[in-house]
Amino acid sequence: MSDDGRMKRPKLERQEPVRGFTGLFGARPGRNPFAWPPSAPPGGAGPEGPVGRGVNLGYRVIDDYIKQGEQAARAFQQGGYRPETVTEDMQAMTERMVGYATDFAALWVEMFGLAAANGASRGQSPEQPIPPFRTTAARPETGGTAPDPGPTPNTRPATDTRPATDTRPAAAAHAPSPQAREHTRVAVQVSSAGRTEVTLDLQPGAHEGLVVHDLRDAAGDKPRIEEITVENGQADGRLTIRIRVPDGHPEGVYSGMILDPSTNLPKGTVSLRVEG
Amino acid sequence: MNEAPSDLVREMLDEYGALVRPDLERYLARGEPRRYLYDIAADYPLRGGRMLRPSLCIATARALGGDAEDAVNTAVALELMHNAFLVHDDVEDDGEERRGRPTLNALHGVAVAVNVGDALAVMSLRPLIDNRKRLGPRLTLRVLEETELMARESVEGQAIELGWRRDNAVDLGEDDYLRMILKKTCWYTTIYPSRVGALIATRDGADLERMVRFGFFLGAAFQIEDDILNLVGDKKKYGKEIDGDIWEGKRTLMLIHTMGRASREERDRLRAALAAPRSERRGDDVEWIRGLIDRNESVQYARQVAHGLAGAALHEFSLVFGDLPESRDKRFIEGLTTWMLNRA
Repeated sequence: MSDDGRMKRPKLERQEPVRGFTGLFGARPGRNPFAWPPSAPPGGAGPEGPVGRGVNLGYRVIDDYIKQGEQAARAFQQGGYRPETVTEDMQAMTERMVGYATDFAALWVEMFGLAAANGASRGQSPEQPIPPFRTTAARPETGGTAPDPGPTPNTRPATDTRPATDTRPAAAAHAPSPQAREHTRVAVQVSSAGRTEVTLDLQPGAHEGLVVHDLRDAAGDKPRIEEITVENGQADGRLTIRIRVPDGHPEGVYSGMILDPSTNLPKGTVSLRVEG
Repeated sequence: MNEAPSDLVREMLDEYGALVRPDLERYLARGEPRRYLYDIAADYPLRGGRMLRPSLCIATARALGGDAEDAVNTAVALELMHNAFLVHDDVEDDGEERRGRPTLNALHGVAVAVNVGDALAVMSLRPLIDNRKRLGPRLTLRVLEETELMARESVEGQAIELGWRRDNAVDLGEDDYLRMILKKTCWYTTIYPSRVGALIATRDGADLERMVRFGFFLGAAFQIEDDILNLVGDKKKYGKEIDGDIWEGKRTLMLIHTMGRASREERDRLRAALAAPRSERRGDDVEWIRGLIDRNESVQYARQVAHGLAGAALHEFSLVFGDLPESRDKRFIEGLTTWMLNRA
């Protein structure tokens, strides 16, 4: 009620239009509606305050950490390292990685053989198929050639985040590198009197001068399949793996590591199911 | 209508906790020697925890389109390993209380407690091996690799912290602290659960680097808040002794902040007070350090840093999860960023 007794609209709190971005969506003018967290104690905001300082430090720490992991993985992925260009820590780390790789190789073969024996040779759970492995069944006649499975899929993450202290072989497999993004063309030829099924797991880009170990069964009580060769096609860059199964070879699942002889690191696995 | 984030977080922690507990109890081995091993090993897990780590693992898997059941074994293994770490932490810290009751070392002695911690770590392997039945051998091996990496990061972080205490380090910066908790806490509390959840859901098809950033900021906010609660928390809710970190000489962000602000005389006294082992530390020294922390407003400072880190976690969350379809799991993970700061 005004002094003269007439009803008047109350004076508005705001006398001019809101033009500032920070006043949108009902937030109080002068306050950023997207500021987070809403309950942050006052006085800490701004790049020099504890909040900004903590965030900046945090990003610096995590970026350094990730960078170290990438450097380590890249040095390892490139098939060796030059001692004069890396720190002592890096050398020790790389040596340990080689050791771990050897340990893991045995486990890998065991698991792979076990999986194949269980009928899960594609690394799949019964309920949910996943496609990392290329499996091809060779024709029973001698000289049967499995179809070229085409580019080997890169099933690894594009980048790796492991620290410089990471000693696992997987660190290298996960590292981004130009090589890792190249595709590998692979052909598998199996000579066998009986029916066979081949399962191949090969890291992308790893196809220079590879060797394959003899194929052996998980229990180790059957004769090995020793006639196995790897050829690198000069013209088309295709990798050809040739396996000959001796006549009358016992049925079962036989697996062998594919290795890079320059580093002695595993690059993949080949597994062969021989049926009766 | 959507629930408040904190309500949703509490609800889903209960939900996923209930999903994991039966398997957790199943994997806690029984039999003989019960009195000296298995009954004691079951003690911490059965005291109940929030199940934050298993829940984050399952929620990440589900948010990325995976099946909760696929992640349960890994979640159980993580909880068993977490309990193994707790038992050994309590021995290393000479801790007195855990989850509102005396620690295993206080109840049964150091030797028995160390062995029980070993047993829990060993027990954590079985659910990971059993993953083979559901995930297949290749993914099982990848989860094992991730687990080995996580465990190694965690023990490295613990080693750094123990080394600081052994050498009575007082010239530490906040970046040293963040590097230490990245390894000691973040890897197994938030980075690993997110990474392994994503790994399982996508069958090893996810970019796990983003999970490292998200997990780091989330875990760092969690650890700083945990350290704050050690000074100002409600003992009943917190479950550990208040000021226990000062008694143990832990290099928390508050202590590092205080060290940086202390006068020369104060630093000398701090150095002398922190040099003594816990059993020889004097109550008046602890009181004096606590007073110094208060005078330097180091708790307020740490709280602001924690808020900043939680904000960064929220930003990283938007990069990792932003494009995914809306779901309760996605909102749960987002809600953790604020819950971390308000869980007292």
